[in-house]
Amino acid sequence: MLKLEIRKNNDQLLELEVGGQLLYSDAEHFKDTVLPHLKEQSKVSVDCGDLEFLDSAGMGSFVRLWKECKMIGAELELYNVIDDVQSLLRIARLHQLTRIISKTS
Amino acid sequence: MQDKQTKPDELHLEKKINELELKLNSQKQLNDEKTAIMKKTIAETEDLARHLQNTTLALIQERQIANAKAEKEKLVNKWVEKINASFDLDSLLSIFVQEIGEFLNVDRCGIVIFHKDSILDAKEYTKYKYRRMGQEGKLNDLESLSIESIKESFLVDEINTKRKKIIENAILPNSDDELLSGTRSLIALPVIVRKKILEKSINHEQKASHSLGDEILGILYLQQCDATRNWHDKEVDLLNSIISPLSVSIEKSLLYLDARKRTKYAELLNNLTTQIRSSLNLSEILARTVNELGLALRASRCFLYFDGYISDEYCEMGVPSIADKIQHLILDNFRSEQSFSAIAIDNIQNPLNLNKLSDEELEELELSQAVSALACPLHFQGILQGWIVFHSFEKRVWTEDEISFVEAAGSQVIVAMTQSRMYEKLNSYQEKLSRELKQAARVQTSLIGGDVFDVSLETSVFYKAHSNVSGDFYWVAELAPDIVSVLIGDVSGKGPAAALLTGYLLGEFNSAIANSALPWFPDKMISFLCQSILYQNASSDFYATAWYGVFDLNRGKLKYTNAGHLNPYIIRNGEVIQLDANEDCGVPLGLINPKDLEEVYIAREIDFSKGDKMVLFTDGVLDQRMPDGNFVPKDWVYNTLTKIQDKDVKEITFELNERLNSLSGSTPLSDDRLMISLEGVSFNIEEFPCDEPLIMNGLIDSIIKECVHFNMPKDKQINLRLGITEAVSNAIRHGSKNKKEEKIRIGYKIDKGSFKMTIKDPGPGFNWQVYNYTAIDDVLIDEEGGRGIPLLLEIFDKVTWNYLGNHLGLFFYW
Repeated sequence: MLKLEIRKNNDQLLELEVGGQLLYSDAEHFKDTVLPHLKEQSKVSVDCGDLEFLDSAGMGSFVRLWKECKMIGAELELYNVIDDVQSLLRIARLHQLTRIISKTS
Repeated sequence: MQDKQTKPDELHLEKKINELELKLNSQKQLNDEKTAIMKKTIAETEDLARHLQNTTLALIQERQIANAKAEKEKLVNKWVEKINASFDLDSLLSIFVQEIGEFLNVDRCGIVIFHKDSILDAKEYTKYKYRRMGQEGKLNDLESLSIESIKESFLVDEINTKRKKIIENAILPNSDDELLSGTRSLIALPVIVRKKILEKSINHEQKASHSLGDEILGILYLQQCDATRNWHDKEVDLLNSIISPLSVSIEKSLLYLDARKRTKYAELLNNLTTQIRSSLNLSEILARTVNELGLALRASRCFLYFDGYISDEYCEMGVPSIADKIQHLILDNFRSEQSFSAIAIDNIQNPLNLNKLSDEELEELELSQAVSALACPLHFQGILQGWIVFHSFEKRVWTEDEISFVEAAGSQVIVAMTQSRMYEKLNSYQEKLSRELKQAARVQTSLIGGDVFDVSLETSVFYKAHSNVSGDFYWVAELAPDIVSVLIGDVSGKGPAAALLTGYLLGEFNSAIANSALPWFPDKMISFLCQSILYQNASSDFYATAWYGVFDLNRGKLKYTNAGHLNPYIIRNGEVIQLDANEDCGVPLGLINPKDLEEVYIAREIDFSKGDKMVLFTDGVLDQRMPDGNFVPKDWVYNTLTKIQDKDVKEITFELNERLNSLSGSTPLSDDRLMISLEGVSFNIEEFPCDEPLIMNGLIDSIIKECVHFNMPKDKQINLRLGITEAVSNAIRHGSKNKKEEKIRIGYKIDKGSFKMTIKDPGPGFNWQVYNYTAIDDVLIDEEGGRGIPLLLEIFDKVTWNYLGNHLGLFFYW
């Protein structure tokens, strides 16, 4: 079950919190929820602290977000990323996509 | 009347007187005759008496002579017996001179035995007073005298020249003649033997001549010192009598010495042969050769000379090496005169030899310090290979025996060298061949087999090649999840040629598996392989047996075609059944063209459910010989399988092989040995409605938990979860098009270190071949989709689809 929350949204920063599992069934919901908030922000920060798992469709959602950020010139940052999710991103070669900050215990 | 009467009386008387006179006269005549006879008899008796007297005297004389002769002969016999008691020349001479010397009471009695130009042996009996300088006992060698002084003695010179005995009752002492030192009376006799002589010169002027004549073996001498002595005829006669048996004994002893020498050389040669033949290492052979020969000939130096350099050298203690110094070896000049003959130089300083040497050779000779040399050629099949050379630091006559020995040894050495070179070549060739065969075996091992451990069949294979490479082959391939094809076969013959054909066949088979629908149809696949061999057989005459089957574990069916291969066994419900036991095995591949004959290869279908076992094998099993020379009994496989049928399928081939080894004992492998046992794997099959992803989520959790139970590492867990999620997600999205009434069939099996899964969706499938080679690295980073299949290929060790693409097989190991 996906948990998705927009924490902060101003001219400078769009801050999201993603938790649970980001799967095929939730991928469209993720994009529909997040993408409309992208305006002129210079940074999009995603707190993945509670994100446990994502599949290829979930990964596609992150790619879409990254592409949109790129278009508006915003920097995308995934932080608080747990080891398992980092492994998933690495196996899909998406660790090269953007800045990924590990979750500190 | 009276007158008349008187007259008759007178007449009668007169007659009577006349008669008496006549009688008297007759008597007188008789008496005269008797007297004459008696006189004659007396004369004859006197003559006889005289004759008898003379005869008696003669007899007495003869008896005396005979007695003397017998006594002499007895004495001679005694001596002969003594000298014949030993073959040893030294002791023979010692006994002789002492016996003679003591019997004839001489001051010195000696004997000198010559051999060619030197003295072979010398012994002298001497009374205490007349001992020579340095002598201690009665018997001595003539060691205090030099060979030259003996050879220059009047005695030796005279005997050698005149070949007659010398008898001198009174001679003047001559202080210059050491042998005759202090001698006043002398008897000397030549010890002569009449023999056939073979003279073979070993100098550069080689010649051989035979002559029959007397040979002086030596000289026997008796000396009386200080005072003169008139030698008695009897003494001379005695010496004459003993000299002949003495010469025979000496000759016999010399022959014995010669035989012993020859035996010694035969033993040396035997020893050398054993030494050099015990190794195939060339450098060891050469080193042993020079050492053994150097020691055997007591040479100062012995070396082998090949192509202008000294390869190996033996040097006596204290003798310097010449290995780096000698190049010319004084061989070249001599060699031109006598090819393949030994060159023996008794004395290098001999001007005759020196004339033949170049300045360089003379210089090198000085360096070598050799005084005499012997060089024997080493030749093989008419080609000079090198020389064995001996140096001696003293003048030395190289004997015929020594040269023969070295020549014989040289022959052995050159044979051993040739053998060693051949062995090295052979070894190098064998090493190369073995290396290549090992590489070929590795290549072949990688060629045969296929996906043995990655299929829905539990598979166990025992494979042992008769040589490095084999003519047996097999391949196990998963055509689709739960659909496994198995090929087993045997190419005629064994070894590299057969192995090449197996490679060719498997290449053809694999290309068919990758690129066509042939593998799904056993009869077509076998026909295809048959035609491939026929094409290949345009340049050879190989053939192969093959059995090919497709196991459909979903349907519980086996479809197969046999091409002359041994029928496999099925183990089912406690029974062992040979498949098609009463049917024809079919025609081996490569014998006929399937196009020429309809239905040469027929596909048969039987039930084969999960839990059924099958055992396939090649003829190496039945062709195995037992210690009694017979083949393994035909029913051996059936009987053995009956006994071991309950064993785990993975143990069956191992057990079969063990029992076969036990049966065959130490009998070597007769042929390649290949045995395969198979059993359908039991999967946990579940069906899930397409609209219940959460239930599937629960299934994934359950799978991961079970894998963890089988010690799956943590870092692999998240990967497997992603892989299963992608596979199930694909089935839902593409297979059922999210139709809620459709169901997905999922089966899986978790074992120690492995996870196998099949997912069958109700959809029409997809062209998986298009995606089958897309790696995750090939997906552009900004692509939002298209990662599903590449992720499956990245995560799982093996991913298979059925022909349609609606049935997925996944294999994951840790």
